[in-house]
Amino acid sequence: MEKLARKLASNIAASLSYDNEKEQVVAYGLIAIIQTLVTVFLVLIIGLFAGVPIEALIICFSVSILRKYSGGAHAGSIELCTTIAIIYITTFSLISRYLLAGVINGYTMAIIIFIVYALSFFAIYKFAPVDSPKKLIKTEKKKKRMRKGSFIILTVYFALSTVLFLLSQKQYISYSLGLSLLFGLSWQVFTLTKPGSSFISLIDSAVNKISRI
Amino acid sequence: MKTLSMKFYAVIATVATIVAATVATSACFYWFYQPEEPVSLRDE
Repeated sequence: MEKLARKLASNIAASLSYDNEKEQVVAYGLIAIIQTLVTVFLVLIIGLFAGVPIEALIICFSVSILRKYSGGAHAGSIELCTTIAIIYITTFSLISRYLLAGVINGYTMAIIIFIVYALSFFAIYKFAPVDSPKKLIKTEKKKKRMRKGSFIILTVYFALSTVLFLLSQKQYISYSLGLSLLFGLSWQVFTLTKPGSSFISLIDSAVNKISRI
Repeated sequence: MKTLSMKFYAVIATVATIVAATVATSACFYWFYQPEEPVSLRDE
């Protein structure tokens, strides 16, 4: 995907007589567009086949929207990143709908919501924003803006979880949607922590070793 | 035909530049892969 974006950017730069920096900016934007389109398309298709399209999209967007402000650990390649995202999203959409939604009750759900949000607010306060060596956040002003944005997004998620919890007293599908939101949030918060970063690095190095064989 | 492809490229370049600028104001890429950020978009 990255090669495709860079090749397209190179063709555009040659046709429009762009310098190297402009070409890099176009390539950067194209990587974001292609990665988003491919990930959302695959999540939707797999979600439809598995019978959990809404749950899959909730996990997908709850991770990416919070990630815009909180940052988090990154995989070494675009393909690995997409694969991790799709495996996590599909697995936990299925768990939400077919394993947990049918057995969970209101009391348990309330406790889970409380624990997940208490830990998430703490993790955001303690770690966000988590930058990457390829995109450092250097100014204190931006760090504050990103942390504030993370808290606002988290508060919106909490409001959504509360609404879904109240709806779940009448519609059992709301349990499934609420759990999907919690799984998306938990994964994103996990990637802010050291164990989360180590886990992604571990997958990265394991995949690199396998690909060398 | 050449003019048409030039216009098409110009549209793609404009959209890609807007997206790149939007991503630059974020903490990181929306997904789990972060490519090298171009110098002109860096937060110095």
